[in-house]
Amino acid sequence: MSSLSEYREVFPALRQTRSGKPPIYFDNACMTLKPQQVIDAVLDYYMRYSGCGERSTHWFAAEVDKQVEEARESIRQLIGAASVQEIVFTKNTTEAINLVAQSLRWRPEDVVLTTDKEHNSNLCPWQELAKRGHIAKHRPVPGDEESRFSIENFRKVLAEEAGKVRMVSLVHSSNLDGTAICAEDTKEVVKLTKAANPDSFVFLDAAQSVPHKPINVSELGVDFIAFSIHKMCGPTGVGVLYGRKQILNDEGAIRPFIVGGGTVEDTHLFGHPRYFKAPHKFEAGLQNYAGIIGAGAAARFLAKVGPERIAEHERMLNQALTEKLSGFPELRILGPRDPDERSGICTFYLLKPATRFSDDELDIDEKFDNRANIMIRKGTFCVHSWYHANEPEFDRIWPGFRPTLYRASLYLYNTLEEVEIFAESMKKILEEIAGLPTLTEGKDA
Amino acid sequence: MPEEAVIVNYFRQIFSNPEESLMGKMEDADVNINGELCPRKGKKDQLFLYGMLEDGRLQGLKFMCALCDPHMFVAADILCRLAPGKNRDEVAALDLASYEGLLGGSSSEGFEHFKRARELLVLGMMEAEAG
Repeated sequence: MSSLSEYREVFPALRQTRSGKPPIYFDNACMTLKPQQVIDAVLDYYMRYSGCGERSTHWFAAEVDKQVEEARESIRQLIGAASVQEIVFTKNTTEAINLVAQSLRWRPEDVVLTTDKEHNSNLCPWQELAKRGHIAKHRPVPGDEESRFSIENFRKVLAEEAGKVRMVSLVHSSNLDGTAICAEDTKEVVKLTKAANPDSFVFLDAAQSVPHKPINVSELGVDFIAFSIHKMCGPTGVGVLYGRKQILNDEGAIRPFIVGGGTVEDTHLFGHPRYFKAPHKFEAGLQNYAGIIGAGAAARFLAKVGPERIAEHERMLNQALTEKLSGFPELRILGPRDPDERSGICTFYLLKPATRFSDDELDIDEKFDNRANIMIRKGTFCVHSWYHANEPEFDRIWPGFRPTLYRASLYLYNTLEEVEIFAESMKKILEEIAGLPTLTEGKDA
Repeated sequence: MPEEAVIVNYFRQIFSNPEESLMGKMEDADVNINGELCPRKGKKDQLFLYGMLEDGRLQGLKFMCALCDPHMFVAADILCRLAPGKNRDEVAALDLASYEGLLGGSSSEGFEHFKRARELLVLGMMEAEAG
């Protein structure tokens, strides 16, 4: 059994109490807490050497440059990239995906494929390209019967598009239900995509995978991945775009769409700017140095804990959580029943058209928070498109039934004791609302 | 607010027979409107109302509630049963007696929800009539 309890101590946010109880933080798919090492790194920048990087050469600037490049190297090691030139700092995953979408040189006949369960950040950029006529279309690949990525469906869609697919951009691990594309399928996607069109790219939205398990981009063979540092124990406001060096430096394939200071070697009043090589040509303007330095500390922290151990720990917790929640007949877990297929995410809904008796009563997530300091997320988690596509399934339970989704997302500092408290709280809440009808496929139970 | 038996009983009735349910989406509805009608900050309760219009009179209505408490389900269900055949002024005139007649009891909180739902439907009819 995995235990990472020794690392729990380094998260100051977990040491506080409210009403005599510690926080139980289960909203990690949105934002993770920060260990002392990361906080110290950010503070150190502001307290000791808060100058600018990549421009000045003085004492403080030299320290900024050193720390930023160390951060780049730490992130390179974490994801197994071949070179630090392949690590571009952005604001977040969303910006990294948009950077690629807006910078690649598209052809009007190009087709972009995604899954049918994308976060808005890996959906809107491609839909926008199609809307503006830069590409022919965006096409989602249907998942299998359990809403997982289907390599068979992918193969079929790829064949139907007959060599026109220029970009395959897939959610590597879903923030909705935790289902992930395995390494074998990822490699197969790369192989099939390149075979169909050698001038094509494979992109992984790795926002929910890099923080939670081992990733090696070189072994996977993908062209791009994007992830956010705030989801991996790092500061807010920093994301990473990994791009293969050969692509990032190929002006025939990609040109930066945000340009200016920091991206150019030389300019003249007339003529074209001469850009730096990657990654700097994609990092315009003064950067979030404190955040980047904190990102380096976060990458080193994760490497020290060990991505394999994190994955194993989350699996163990999700197994316990799933077992507990499966005992409530009025509750349904989204995605595969097997928790091993859902990483550290457990999203559920109640087979109840209403979950409180009146406006004045707290909703389920608020009861968790107010009574036990348990923080979860409610909503559609920026995957509105999946929810709408799934409405016929909800209608089959009861016409017009639109359940509220609740998500518990786990991380390295969570414990089995916290899962127990969560399950006990859930039980109590369900007892309180037992008087409200429970639906069972068209009937009030 | 304590649990209101009259509301909960009606709420259970709504989900007792799918054949009689007025819940669901109506495709190509003339009236198609939704609103966040819960007064509490931070909630995103949404009522969706759908209806067909013929010569300014409602011919059929459906509704959906997301995140709502039973009061709004009950209000919407009663509204969707009372409003067919009525024009905008007649919908606006639906009163406490009409509401309580179908509810089978009294609930001031329930009627507050009904009024909000009724106003949303009138607005939806105005929008539909304006094209």
